[in-house]
Amino acid sequence: MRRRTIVLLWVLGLTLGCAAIARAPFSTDMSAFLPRSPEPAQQILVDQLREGVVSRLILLAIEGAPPDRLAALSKAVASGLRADPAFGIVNNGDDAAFGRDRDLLLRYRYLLSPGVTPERFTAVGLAKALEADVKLLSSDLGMLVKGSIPADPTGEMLRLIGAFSTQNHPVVRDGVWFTGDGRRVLLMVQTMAAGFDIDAQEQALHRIDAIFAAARAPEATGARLIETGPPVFAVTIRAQMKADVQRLSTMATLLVAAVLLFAYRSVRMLALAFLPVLSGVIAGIASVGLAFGFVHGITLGFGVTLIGEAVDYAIYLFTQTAPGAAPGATLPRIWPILRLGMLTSVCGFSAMLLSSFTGFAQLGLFTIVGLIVALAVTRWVLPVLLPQTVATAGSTMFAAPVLALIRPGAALRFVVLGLAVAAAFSLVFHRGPYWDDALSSMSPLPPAEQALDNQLRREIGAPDVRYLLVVRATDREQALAASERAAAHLDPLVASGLIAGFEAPGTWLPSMATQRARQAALPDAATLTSRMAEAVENTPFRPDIFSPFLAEVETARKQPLLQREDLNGTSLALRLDSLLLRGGGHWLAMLPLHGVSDGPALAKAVASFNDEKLVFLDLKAESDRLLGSYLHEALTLSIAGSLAIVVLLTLSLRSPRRTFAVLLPLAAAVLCTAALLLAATGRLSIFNLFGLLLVAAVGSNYCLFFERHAHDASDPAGRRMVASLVLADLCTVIGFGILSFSIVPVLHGIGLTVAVGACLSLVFGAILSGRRAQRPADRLDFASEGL
Amino acid sequence: MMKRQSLRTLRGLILTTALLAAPHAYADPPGLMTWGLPQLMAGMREVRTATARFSERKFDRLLKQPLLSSGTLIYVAPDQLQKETLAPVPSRMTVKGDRLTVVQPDGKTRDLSLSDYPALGALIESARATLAGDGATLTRYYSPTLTGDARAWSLLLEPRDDRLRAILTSIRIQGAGNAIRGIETQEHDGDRTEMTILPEPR
Repeated sequence: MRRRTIVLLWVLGLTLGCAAIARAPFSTDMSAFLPRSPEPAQQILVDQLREGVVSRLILLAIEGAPPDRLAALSKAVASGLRADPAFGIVNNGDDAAFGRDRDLLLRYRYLLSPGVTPERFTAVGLAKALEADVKLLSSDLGMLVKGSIPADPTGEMLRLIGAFSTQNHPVVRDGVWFTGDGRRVLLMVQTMAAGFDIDAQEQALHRIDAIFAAARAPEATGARLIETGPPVFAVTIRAQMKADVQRLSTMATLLVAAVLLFAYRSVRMLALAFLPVLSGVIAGIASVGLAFGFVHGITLGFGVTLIGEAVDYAIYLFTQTAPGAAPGATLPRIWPILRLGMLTSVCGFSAMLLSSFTGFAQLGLFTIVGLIVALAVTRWVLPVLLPQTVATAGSTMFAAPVLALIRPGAALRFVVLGLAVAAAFSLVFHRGPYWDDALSSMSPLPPAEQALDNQLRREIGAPDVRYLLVVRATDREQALAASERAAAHLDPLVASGLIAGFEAPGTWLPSMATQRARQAALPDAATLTSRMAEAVENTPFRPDIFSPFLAEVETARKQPLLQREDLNGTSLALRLDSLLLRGGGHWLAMLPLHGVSDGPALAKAVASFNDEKLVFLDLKAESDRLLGSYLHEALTLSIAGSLAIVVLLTLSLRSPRRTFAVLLPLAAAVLCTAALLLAATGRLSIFNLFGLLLVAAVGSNYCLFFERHAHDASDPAGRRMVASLVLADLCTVIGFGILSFSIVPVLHGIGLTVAVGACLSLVFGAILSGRRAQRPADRLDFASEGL
Repeated sequence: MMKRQSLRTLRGLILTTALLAAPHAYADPPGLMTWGLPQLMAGMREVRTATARFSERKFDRLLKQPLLSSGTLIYVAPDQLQKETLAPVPSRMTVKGDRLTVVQPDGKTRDLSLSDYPALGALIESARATLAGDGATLTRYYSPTLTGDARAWSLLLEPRDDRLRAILTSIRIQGAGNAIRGIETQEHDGDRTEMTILPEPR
């Protein structure tokens, strides 16, 4: 009756787990593995990267055809994209895009230009402006400006265009953007869908491909389309991660199954061994889905390790059962050590669970729940389903190589200790930095794609912004007003050369107050006519040419103020949206500073503004600091996790000597693994660090068994025990080792570290903790120790 | 082979047309055989650097009277050109490759890319490509008509591109040997610039 209840409960649990998994959305958003920033201003920046304008920008390049063909293709693709509702702004450098911008600037020039002041429109101010016009006209740029003088003698449009083109932009040939070498045309496309909507982004990319194919079709040239930008990366990463997870878990399952089939020569035993794993994986994913609301692709990938680890419990049970004996009898004997082993692993993974990075926390929760459930299934469900006797004859042969290591005794111990000391020395005297501090190393994007993106970004003139002023406000008006105050502070810095220039949202959408003030600065028609007549008198200009100016100022005095909606359909909207952000109930105005020669001096200058609403951000320093805190947290958590393991072992083993015997091989394995990784790759990543902690957590299982038992080739029980360790270790190494083939840096880093470390733990455990049977008192019995 | 033949025929045709349009050249048949646009271009290519003084008169419909200015011109082969205005207000324009830098009378510097301003680019190329003896660039922007002879020639440049023609009607460059003596720019709206160039011994 009780057995049936257990099985029923188990099946019910699995069903509920599957239901929870079916409801949990799947995510591949890499920012889950980026730090959650404690400061709201920075957090909004991070969110913007995820959802904002930047996340919706696709850069396109077309190459592989003669320049005139490329230009024609660029125009055809751009018109195709403009006709498609999936895309907002499409820019390929042609006049069609700039024409709309220019029209808007022209129409609103008296509300947009900071040059509009009452003084500017007095007779003296106008005379000064005309004087400048004469100079300009006589200069070599005269040809460019003379057409606009009758309507805009005060040069407001020129001023706006100047601000508009402060950013570098690509070379224009045949009316479209080209790269400097003339081999590619460039286009910039903004999708309507948000950056995190990867399905929509994938659709958008398909549309782009189709539009390009159609544009190319008339002449089957060898022209190629290159796509880059956040949406492309998101789609690529998701596809790669899906393929990666499928490939790796299939490989791990097949390999582990092959090993078990070889060991047990029984499909039934194989199926039984996988039951705890399967239950653990389902419970793990379900709990992550319930706790976080989504399951990260990387978490699924990490599930591969659980295949290798959770199968251990069944292996210990099966292998340590003597041929012909009932496995039910083995359980009470090994249960305390299984439980302690599981608890040490949980200690290790708890460090990840406590991480402030969602991604790591998911991995931690997934593994902890998975291990607990796998062990529980091994303990309570498996005995119900197991046959009365098990035959695991083939498995004991796995013991031979490790028993061979135990036999030489002291000699090998000195070798291992020597290795550990050497590893410690190589770590201490390592030259250069220990930690890989490039954030890019955490991205699963291949370096080639990152480089391509950087290159296109440079060509298209998107400047790398390092220094930013950020202003926070409760609504758009206040944010714009604050940005205008900040701009007023910055103007002297431009004049003094501390910065070459800056952008501000108020440039493209002045606050209503500023617009009203500018409107008020414009004199009425009669006043302006008489002042203009006075101003023209002493200039070489004909007096009758300025009627367009008089008419347009009069229009501007009465025109409705420029609103955000008026910018729609122009690239000004894009500029504004990247500078004026809304998030978490407030607004942020950002002022990127260009051409900063002296960062510290700038920081000092900004501090002297004495405006507590202004936040000065040095993005490079900020990301360094974030990565620093990231590393610091990982180190703290790793140390705490290691200490927890030590405390747990000390309390459970109730003997410093025995604790030492378990910890010594672990420490040696961790040291040697760290030294090997550092020597092989030159730097350690944060993932290696977590991996090292897991080496201690996982490896302790083997050392516990070794420390507990005497081993002798002549003792069948000892042989079986060693064989079970080798099998379990092999499966763990397979699980983590396969992960090291992943394209995802997190999985690769942790996988490689644990695979190497688990291998070393077993070998070192055998050599350092393993004892030959000397005292008959060494019993394979823990029950009496009250564990 | 055929292609080459027809090209040669075409060139002959162009020369004949130029000949018909240039009675002076017609009067001097040996000159025709030895001197033409390719020869002019080849002669210009020999000049590596040149310095000259200029005076300019700008007739603008916005202005009551023409604007006068003067200064120096410096050319360094193959693509560097500097125009320094000394009077009435000093300013400087430098072109190198695709970059145009203007130091305005108020001291402000403007830096722009010629490819962004096709009209300005074409205008500058008329002088620069002529100085560089770069016939290919010249004919990409303009249809050239050469009259006169090596001692006193006149090169009429008419824009090929419709958009450019809407701004610029023609440019007439006058020269002697491998030196430019004057540039007259006629704009579509009737405005006109006359530049007289006096070579300066270096």
